[in-house]
Amino acid sequence: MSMDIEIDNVSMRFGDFTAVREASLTIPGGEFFSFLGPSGCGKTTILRMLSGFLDPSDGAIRIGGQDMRGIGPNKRPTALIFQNLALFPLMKVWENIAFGLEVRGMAKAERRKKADRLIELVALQGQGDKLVTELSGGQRQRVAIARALAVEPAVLLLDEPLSALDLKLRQHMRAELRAIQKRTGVTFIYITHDQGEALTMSDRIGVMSQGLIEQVGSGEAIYDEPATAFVATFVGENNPFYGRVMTTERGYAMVDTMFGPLRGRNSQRLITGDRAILFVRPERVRVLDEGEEAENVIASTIDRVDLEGAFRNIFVRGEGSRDIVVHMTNDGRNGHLSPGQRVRIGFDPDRALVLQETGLSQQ
Amino acid sequence: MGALKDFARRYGAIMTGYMLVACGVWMIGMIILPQLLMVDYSLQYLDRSEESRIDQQIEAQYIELQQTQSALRRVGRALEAAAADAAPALERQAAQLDAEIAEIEETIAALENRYVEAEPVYSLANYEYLFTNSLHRAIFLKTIWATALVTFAALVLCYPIAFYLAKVAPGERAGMLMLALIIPYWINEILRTFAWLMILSYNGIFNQAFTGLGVISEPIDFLNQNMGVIIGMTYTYILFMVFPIYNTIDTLDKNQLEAARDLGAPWWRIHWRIVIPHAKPGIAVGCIMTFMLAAGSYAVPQILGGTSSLWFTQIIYNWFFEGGDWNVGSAYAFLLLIICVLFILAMMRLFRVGLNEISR
Repeated sequence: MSMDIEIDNVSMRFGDFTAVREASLTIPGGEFFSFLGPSGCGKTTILRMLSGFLDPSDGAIRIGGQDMRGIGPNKRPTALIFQNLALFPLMKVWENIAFGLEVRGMAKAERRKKADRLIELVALQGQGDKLVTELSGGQRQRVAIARALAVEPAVLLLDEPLSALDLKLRQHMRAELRAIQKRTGVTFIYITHDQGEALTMSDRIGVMSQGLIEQVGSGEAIYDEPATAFVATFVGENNPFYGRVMTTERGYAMVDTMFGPLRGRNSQRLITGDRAILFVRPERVRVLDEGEEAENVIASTIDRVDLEGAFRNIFVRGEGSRDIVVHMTNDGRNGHLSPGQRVRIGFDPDRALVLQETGLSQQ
Repeated sequence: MGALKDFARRYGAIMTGYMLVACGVWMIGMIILPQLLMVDYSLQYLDRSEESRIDQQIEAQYIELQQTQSALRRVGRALEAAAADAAPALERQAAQLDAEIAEIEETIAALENRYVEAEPVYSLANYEYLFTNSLHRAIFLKTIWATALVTFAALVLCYPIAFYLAKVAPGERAGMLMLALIIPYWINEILRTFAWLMILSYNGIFNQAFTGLGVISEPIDFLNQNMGVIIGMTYTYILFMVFPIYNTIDTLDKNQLEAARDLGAPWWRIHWRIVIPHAKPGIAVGCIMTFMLAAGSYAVPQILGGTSSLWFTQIIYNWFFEGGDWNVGSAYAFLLLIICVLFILAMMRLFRVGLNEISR
């Protein structure tokens, strides 16, 4: 039942505007894949091309090896879950779920039976004869999933379906979605701007910006080894230090920043003179004790300390108006830090990444 | 009562009083009382058979009177011209005619004295008249089915238009099309109907064009068939069908259409299962408005109809303003109203919509 999806050099233009630029990607059957990006990055356009509401301007989309060009959404082995769910309000829950089966000419008794099985799968027992308007947000969510699964799609496409739910429910539904995906073995392609959703649920993530797929990889790869400056800033928090590459040696580069030379890994193989940004994540920076040394050290003043409970965010005055953020576990030893205090902060070169500065304005 | 108090608290006593009086005047003075009056009229039967018998007799007497008077004038002229020896005979004859005239006038006076206003009697006779008069009954039934046909034609025509306007046409074009639909309605109904007269008449644009092109060999006489009236009426009331349907379809979430399509539904099933159920209140309102307006239309059948395509409203008009019998006219009008109310109830039943949905 699972089919590979090939996105082969696909571009989509609307007039002068290019929504998707030469995207190429293969998603193996049975994978939970997320497209992650800010609004307007082209992820919804990709989804609409996969579902068949749009045909790409260039390139091809193949599902199970078959070119999908000209095949309408009602003829594709895909099912789409809409952002607002788009349930049919005039139908009962089971009728909603069985709509795809009704369309395929299945007899009513059989439809009902299959709908009941799906109702069980999404844990909505006893709700089949209610109207969808009588259900809560999370229950509607499940109806939408069941309705899409009813037609036994090879690929389930999800367009930010959790965005309307409150935080608790959203977190619960993440786990639920993941479990349903594992149970059914259907390929899930998930669109979201929420990195938390993408990181927790996906086997792999494609990060998109301005119509380009910037990086494809597992959650770990995206978080630990961002391929571009955009990915480094969009996924998770990051402290950027702007400058030029001074020297490089065996996988490391020294960047000349406002705080002096700082060293980090040079995965992009930048050369001396390149404009670069050195990124280090807040949880990988530490406040140095008196006399403690580190390879990269920055001395500055504490602007603000936010206590979040389990951890503290320390904002140290950085370049211009931007603060350098340091995450500290609230282990009872850093309570003495207060605004106005001079501190030294430091990090390992292995924890920092030097990336080329492109298309990313200094905010 | 609670709602009223709430209203009074919000808008004050004067405003509330005004609203109550205005609503009362409107409901009682303009709707309930005239209708009751009409129902009352329709139930009063005037037996005019005696009246008309006397009328006929009086009429006959007047004719005799005229003849006698003209004979008398001839005798008068003969008397002026006659020689003296013939005069006495003529004078005798004149005297005899004078006596006759006096006698006739006396008879007329006597007849007129017998003439009494028929006493109205409460009965259903006025209603029965429709069912005993086969011509009126036929026109009544024809009006109902032709109106139903107009309603159906308008629905078939308007549903695609409304759907296109609401869901398919891009914003700007939808606005333009909407204007194109509305602007003709700024011209009054009579003129628009006359335009159809020019198109549909025997030597009109349609017949000239199509006989010219050889599509039809003989011109079609639309106006002496019901066809002309039905076409004209469908056109006249089309907007009342388009807008309610457009309004309901417009509120349909486009994602639902896409979801249905994504689940494999062909276009006709999307309409059958998603769009039409959603648009039901609009369709019901459109059908009701079109039916009511068409059933009660007077101008269109008057202009586009021939002698053999009378509309029931024309019969009612004739009773009121030509036949001079308001009682039968009222009965006929009330029957038409009953049919319309029955149609409304049937539509609400058929589309399973309540008054609250219709008033939305």
